[in-house]
Amino acid sequence: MIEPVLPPECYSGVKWYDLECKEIFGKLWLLVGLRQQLDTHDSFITRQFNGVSVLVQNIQGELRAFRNVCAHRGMPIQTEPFGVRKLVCPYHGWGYREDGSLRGIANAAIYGICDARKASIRLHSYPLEIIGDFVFVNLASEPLAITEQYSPDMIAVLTAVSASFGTEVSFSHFTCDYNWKLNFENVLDWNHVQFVHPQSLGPLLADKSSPASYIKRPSSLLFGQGALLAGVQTNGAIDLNVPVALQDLSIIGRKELPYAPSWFSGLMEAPCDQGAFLNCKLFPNANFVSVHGEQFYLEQFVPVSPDRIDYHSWVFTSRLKKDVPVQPQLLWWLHHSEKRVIDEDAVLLTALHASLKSASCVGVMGDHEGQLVAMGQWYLQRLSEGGNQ
Amino acid sequence: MRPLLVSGPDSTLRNVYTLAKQAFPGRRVEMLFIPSADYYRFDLTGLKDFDPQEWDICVAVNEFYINDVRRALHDAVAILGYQCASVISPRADVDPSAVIGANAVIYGGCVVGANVLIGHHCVLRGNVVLSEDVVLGDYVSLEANVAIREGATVGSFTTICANSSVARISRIGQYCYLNHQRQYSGTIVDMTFYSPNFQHPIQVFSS
Repeated sequence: MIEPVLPPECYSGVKWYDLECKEIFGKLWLLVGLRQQLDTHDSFITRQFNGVSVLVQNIQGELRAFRNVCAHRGMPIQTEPFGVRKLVCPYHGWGYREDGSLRGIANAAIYGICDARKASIRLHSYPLEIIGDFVFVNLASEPLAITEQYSPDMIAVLTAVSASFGTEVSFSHFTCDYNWKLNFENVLDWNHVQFVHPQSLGPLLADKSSPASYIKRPSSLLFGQGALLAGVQTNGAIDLNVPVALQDLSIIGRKELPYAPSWFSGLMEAPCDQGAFLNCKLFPNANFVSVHGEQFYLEQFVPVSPDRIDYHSWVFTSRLKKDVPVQPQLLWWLHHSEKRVIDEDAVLLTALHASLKSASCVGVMGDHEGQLVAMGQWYLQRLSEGGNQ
Repeated sequence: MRPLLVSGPDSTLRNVYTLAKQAFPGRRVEMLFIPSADYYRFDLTGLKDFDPQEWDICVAVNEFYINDVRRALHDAVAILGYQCASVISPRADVDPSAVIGANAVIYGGCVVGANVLIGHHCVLRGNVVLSEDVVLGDYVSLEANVAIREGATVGSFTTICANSSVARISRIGQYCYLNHQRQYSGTIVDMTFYSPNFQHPIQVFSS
């Protein structure tokens, strides 16, 4: 038995939320999206973090992150969630270079801005890191190294698994009415699956004897004997008796599953981890799942208020064989299956969020919930340090 | 007129067979169920009784996987040498200037306006209205009561759900599934899915 550490008010209190924005989302590396969205010149992603519009744009093959605000009137330079468009403000045609400096102003003569002033105008840029196909930004001016946030094992897994990603990705986003921490805790809480997802995710992860048609020991290109990730530690236990490090909050889980080929298995070039469910829980607010190395799910819980998140969801597959055409119907079928699981969670997490508002304490936790407690300990420590500054 | 074989793996088969009997009262029309596994693996052995040199074929498959299963079955029978034929209800009103591709299925009550271009393997369910100069790609499915206004285009493999409309001069991309009952307008990019299960459209992007 473990005593819970987080008070209920931290899930809905504005003061707590403001501290989170400053100490967590203002200082940690945040997932922006996938390289597949940013592979061509002028392709871009926009995101809202802490009320700030962040723009990541591919400029001549280099990814750059900026505050998505024109230096002229403050108009967002890109207004869509993603797309392909030059780094030019849509309002009055101010254009910018890859370093954020001003490239030119349409109808420049009417402004009367001297050259020296023009030379000082630039977009506010943010640090950006890429791990495999995962793109991260940091809103801090002097960010911590991303290796402080994610362990070498985590970085190795994300890098290795990215090598097999397909080029097409299904993406959508939607709002959910609960606190972001509840969703990350839900990801850490494997015990809920059998109760909340008995007909969706549950059967996939249940310990069961394999039907005869299943391949008992499919080979994993990543975790098999002598493979690239053979030495990576998965499902590591956490020691609550020592101070929790930031790296400890991001966890690699892996569980062997019976494997049987699906109708789409034959379309794929070389699925990287057949026979396994691989799960990278990326603190503070992202979760990556691989099912047999064939299907990949990436989700992110972006707080927009104490009571609401903008849930971002990406679904994609392993790289398709050459000459296999794009398969949007497959991606959408997988995405709808994923949404069913998300909705099953969202109904309960919304109710839990409402319940916690009137609770005086969170109940009792079990020994298996050490990861939730570790997250709570780190969270309280970080926010108390920030609150005292 | 050569005899017509209506074949398919789902219950759409019976609908199209009934429609074909109405469309071709004097023509020999037969129906063949094609068993399938995992949607894409077809058992075509039943076709051995229908010589492709003698029989035309109409491939009847629902819009499953945004019409890709229909594409897969058509590809499989085309290799065997069958020529595809369209089935158009006698209760559809088709302007003489309209051009309709092969293997189209057009149900009763449809109105196809002047200069409309309909690609191959399209399905127009009951009471679909295509105003003048509308262009549909291949493998498009329009469910019942869809109205597409003047000059609009709909890309290949796109499905539009029942009781929806598309505003004039709109551009609907390929591989779209517009599954909210509403009016669509402007430009909708390729591989966009309006789903009742999602607050915002799902989009597939490709590097």
